[in-house]
Amino acid sequence: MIPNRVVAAALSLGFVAVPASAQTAETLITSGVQAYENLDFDAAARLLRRAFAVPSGDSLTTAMRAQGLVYLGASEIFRGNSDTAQAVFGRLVRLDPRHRIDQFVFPPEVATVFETVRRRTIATVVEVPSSTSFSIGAAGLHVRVYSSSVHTLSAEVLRRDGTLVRTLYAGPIGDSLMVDWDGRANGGAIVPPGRYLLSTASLDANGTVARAVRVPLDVEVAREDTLPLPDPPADSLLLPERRMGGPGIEALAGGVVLGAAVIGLSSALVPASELAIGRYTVGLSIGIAGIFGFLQQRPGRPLVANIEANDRLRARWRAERLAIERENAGRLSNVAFTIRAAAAQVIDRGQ
Amino acid sequence: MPVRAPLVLAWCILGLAGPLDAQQVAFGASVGAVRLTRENQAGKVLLSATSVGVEGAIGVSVVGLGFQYAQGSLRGGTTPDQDLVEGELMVSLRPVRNLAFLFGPHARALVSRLGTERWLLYEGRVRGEAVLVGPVRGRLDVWRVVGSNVNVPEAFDSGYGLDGVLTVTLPSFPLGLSLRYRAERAQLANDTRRESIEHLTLVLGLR
Repeated sequence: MIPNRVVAAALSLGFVAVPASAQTAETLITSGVQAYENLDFDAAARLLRRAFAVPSGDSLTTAMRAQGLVYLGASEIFRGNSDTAQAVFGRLVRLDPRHRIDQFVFPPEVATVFETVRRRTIATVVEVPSSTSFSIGAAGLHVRVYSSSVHTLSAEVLRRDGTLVRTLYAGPIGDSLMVDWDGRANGGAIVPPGRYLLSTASLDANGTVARAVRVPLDVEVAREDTLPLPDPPADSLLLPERRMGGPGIEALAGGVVLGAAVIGLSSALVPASELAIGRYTVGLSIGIAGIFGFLQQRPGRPLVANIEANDRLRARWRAERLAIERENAGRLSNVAFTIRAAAAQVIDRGQ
Repeated sequence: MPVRAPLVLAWCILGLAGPLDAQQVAFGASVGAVRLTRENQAGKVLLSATSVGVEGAIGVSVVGLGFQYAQGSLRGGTTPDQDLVEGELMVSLRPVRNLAFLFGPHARALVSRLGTERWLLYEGRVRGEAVLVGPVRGRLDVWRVVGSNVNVPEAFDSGYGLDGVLTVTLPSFPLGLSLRYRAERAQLANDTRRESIEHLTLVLGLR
């Protein structure tokens, strides 16, 4: 043990000798891990804390940051700082709720502390594909939520102003949860294109929001063009459905005038007619036919043939309109979505 | 060939004159009763006859051409029998649907063993027509004699006439039946002689 401690101390001193500003966070983490493996937990803790304190610490990848935190927490355990270790592990769980302790690397006491912290820490991470395209009726936007512990979660789609559009899920979450959004609002209507937020809220036992994750969504909606509906038959195409005055008046006036003229003029022309029966037969026949024609074609009388022809025309129009409405309904239901997701924003509240 | 040439020529003229659907053609055969009354200083004579004849008309757009022919044998009283032969050829112009103007010669011959009396009258007519009910039409021609050439001793003074026709056309067949009453009066020698002739005719025609 002693030689190891000596080596570790020497290594630590060697690193300390280098100005901190000249060391990158990644180098410090690597050194901290080496110090841990050399059982120099004080040096490991010091190096790892410094890794997160230097300016370049912010640029660390999540994996590197998690590695640093787990070694820092383990170092604190072996330094006897259990509370500090729990705080470090809490930070690790919030950074990566899916993180698990490698039991081939760390002893059981470290794993036990980590698991204790993980179970009491409410943390979630939301994974959304950066770009998703789907048609209505097909699989929608797949959202996977990973959780550090069992808790109550709600997942919603909101407008940018916070107005609720669709509740995707509300209930318990264990390890992970998959929810889909089909592009519809709560009422079933297809949402208009625009910017939305995918929002998850993790609730603690008191019902207080412990963590909220918001993923900006840019929704594009492409619809097939609909066909214009046909206009109803123009008045000029419809036949008159009731008799106008023309034919009836012509029959009446023509019959009476012509019939009277035949009788009257022939009586003046040939007063002592030898064929009077002829003039009266023809004249009266013309007059009676005119009156009968007027009665048959009197104004306002329904024209059955025209009414039937108009009904056929209107029926054709209704059938054409119905067919186009059906076609348009099919086209309207054929909606294609493209949803682009931006980086998630995480809001944690005091844990 | 000599027989077909005029028909072909007539068909070509009709074809050039207007589209086929604007052409109207009608032909018919007639049978009827005729009463001829002659009044002069010697008294009044009434002659009666049964006549048969043919008639026809063709119209292209607003212009038309019609003819009538009838003949019969007049008998009555002590007057010798006379054969009546009548014919007319009228050109018509129809400016509006219900109104037409006609003009043409109207010839009449009265043939007896004493000789032949020829009347050639040029008449100007006005025709009014109306559709009465469905296939029934009414028509009235009123005319005046505007020129004459007669070989009777008396001078021709004036002449008037009218022709009333009731026509029924079968709706599904181009067959028409007409009942016609015609009355004419002519005055001669300062109204010392009057001739009136009336026809009541039934015409069966194709159109």
